[in-house]
Amino acid sequence: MISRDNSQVHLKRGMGAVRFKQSIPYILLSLPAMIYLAIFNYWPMFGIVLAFKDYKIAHGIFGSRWVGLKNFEYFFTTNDLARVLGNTILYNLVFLVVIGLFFGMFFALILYEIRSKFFNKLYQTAMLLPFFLSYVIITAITYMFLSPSSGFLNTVLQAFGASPIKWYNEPVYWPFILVFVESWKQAGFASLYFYSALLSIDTSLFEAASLDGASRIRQIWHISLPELRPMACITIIMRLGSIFGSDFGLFYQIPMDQATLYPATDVLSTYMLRGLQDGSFGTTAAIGTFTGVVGLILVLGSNAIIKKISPENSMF
Amino acid sequence: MQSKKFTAFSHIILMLNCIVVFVPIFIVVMLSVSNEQDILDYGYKVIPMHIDFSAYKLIFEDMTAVAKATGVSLFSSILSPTFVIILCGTIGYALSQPRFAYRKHVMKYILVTMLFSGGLIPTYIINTQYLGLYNNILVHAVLGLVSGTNIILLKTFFSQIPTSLIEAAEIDGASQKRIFVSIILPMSKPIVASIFFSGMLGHWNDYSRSLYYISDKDLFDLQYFLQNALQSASFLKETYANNPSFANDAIPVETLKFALSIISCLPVLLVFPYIQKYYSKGVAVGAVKE
Repeated sequence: MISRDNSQVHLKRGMGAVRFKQSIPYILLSLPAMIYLAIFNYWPMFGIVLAFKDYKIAHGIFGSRWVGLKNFEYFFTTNDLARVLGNTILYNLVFLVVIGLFFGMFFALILYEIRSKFFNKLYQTAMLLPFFLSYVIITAITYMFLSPSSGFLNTVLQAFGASPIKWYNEPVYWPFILVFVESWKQAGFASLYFYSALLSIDTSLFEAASLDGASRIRQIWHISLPELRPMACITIIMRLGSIFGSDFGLFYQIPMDQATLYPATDVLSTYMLRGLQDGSFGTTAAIGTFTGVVGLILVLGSNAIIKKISPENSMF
Repeated sequence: MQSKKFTAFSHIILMLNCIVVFVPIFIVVMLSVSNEQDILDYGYKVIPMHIDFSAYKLIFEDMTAVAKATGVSLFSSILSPTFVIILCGTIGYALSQPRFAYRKHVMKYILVTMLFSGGLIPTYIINTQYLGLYNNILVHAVLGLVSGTNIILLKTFFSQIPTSLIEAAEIDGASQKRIFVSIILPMSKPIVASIFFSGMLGHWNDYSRSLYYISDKDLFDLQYFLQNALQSASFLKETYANNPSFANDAIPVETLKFALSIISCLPVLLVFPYIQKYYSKGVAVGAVKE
C-alpha cells in the first residue's frame, strides 16, 4: 500500500514537471501583462488603507496616521452625499431608459427597414460619428448653442421677443441639456447592439408573416421585439451594475465645470476630482472605497443574473 | 410586404437624425471661418457674413503650441494601443492554448483586477508619488494598457484559430513568439484592428490624463489644450502672445476656439471610415468599454 502511494506521488510530481515544462513558453508570454497588472492594478489596491488614514505626502501611504472611520463619517454627514449620489443614480437610470433601451431599440428597428445600401451607410455614419467625437468638441458645439452672448438659442429666443437666458448659470435646464447631449453622442452606438441582433433574424419569418397579412408594426411587435429582449436584459443589468460610474466627460466638460450648476451636474466622478484637487485625499478615498464595495456587489449580482439569462454574455 | 409607410417613416426619422448630427458639425466649420468682429457684434451665424481665415492663419503661423499638443496626442494614441495589443495579445494567446497548464490561475489573477480597483486616490498617489508619472510624458502612454475585457476578447478570438496551424508551425521550429507575430496576429485582423483603432480614438479623445497628471503646458495633449482654450480666453492670449500678425487684444478668440476644434477632430474623421467598417459588421460591438 505504502509503496503504491509513493509511486503515485512520484507519478504526479513527474506529470507536474511535464506540465510545467510545457507551460514555460506560455508563462513567459503571460508575464509582461501580469507584471503590468501587479504594478498598476494590484499595488494601488493596498492603497485602500488610505480611506482609514490621514494622508500626509511626507509620510506616504503606509506611514500616515490611522484615523478609523473618520473619513467615512465626514462624507456621510455632509449635504453633498444626497446630491452627488442622487444625481449619479438618477442620471444613470434616465440614460438607461432613454438611451440604452428606447433610442437603442428604436434606431435599430428603423435602420433595419432601410434596405438601400447607400442610405443604410449614410444613416449609420450619422449614428456612429458622434460617439467618436471627444467631449471637448461636443462642449464647443453645446457652447455654440448656449453661449449667453452669442449662442443660437438666445438668438432664437430674442427673435421671438423672449429675454435671453444665462444657460451656464441656471441649473434647472441642465438635466434636459445633459440628457439631450448624451443621447446625441451615445444613442446611435447603443442601437448597434440591437441592430446586430436584428440582422440575425431569419427573414423568411417576416415574409411568412406578411403573407398572412400582418402589418409591419405587428411584425415588429411579434418577431423583432422578442428577438431584442435578451439584449435589452443585458443592457439593463450591465448598466445597473455600473450605476455609480458616470461619464466623466459629460458631467465635467459639457457644463464647463461651472460651480453654480453643481446642484444639477455634480456626480461622484466630478465630486471626487474636486476632492483630489483640494487635497482631501482621505475623504475622497473613503468615497472611492464605499462606491467600490457597493459597486462590486452590484457587478457580482448582475453577472450572476446574466449568467442565468445568457451565459455567453457573462463576464466570468 | 406592406411596409412602405413604415419605411418612409424610418427614412424621415433617420434623415432628421442626419441633420441633427451633421448640421452642428457644419456650423462649427462655418464659425471657424467667420470674422471675429461679426461674431462679437451679431452673435454666431450659420452662414458667415464675411469669410475670414485669420484663426487658421494664426494657428499655422504660430505652430509651436498646437504642434506640441498634437505631438503629445499622437505619441499617446499610437504608442498606447500598440502596447495594448502586445501586452493583452501575448497573454490572450497564452490563455487560449490548452497546453498552458496554469490558465485558470492566470485567469483568476486577471478577474480580480476586473472586480476590484484601488480607486481614484490610491491610484493617483501610487502613480505620482511612487512611479514618478506626474508631469512625465510617459503618463500619456502607460496608463490603462492591460484590461481584462480586451484580454478576454482576444483570447476568445485566438482560441478559434485551428490548433493544427500552430502545431505545424511548431514542427517547423517556430518559437511561440514567432507564432504569435506571424500566425496569430495576422489571422486575427478584425479583432486586433478594432481594439487598436478604438484604443487610438480613445486616447486621442481623452483629456483626463492631462487633467490629473500634467501641469506643464508643454505636455498637454491636444484635447486638454482645446479644453483650456474653450474655457478661458486668457489661455489663448497667453499661448499666442508672441505671434507675428495679431496684437494681443486682436487675437480672434472666438473663431480660434472653433478652428482648434476642427483641427483636433480631423484625425478622428480620417480614421472613422476604417472604424466604421468593423463596427457596422458587429465584429467589434463588444470591443469598446464605455
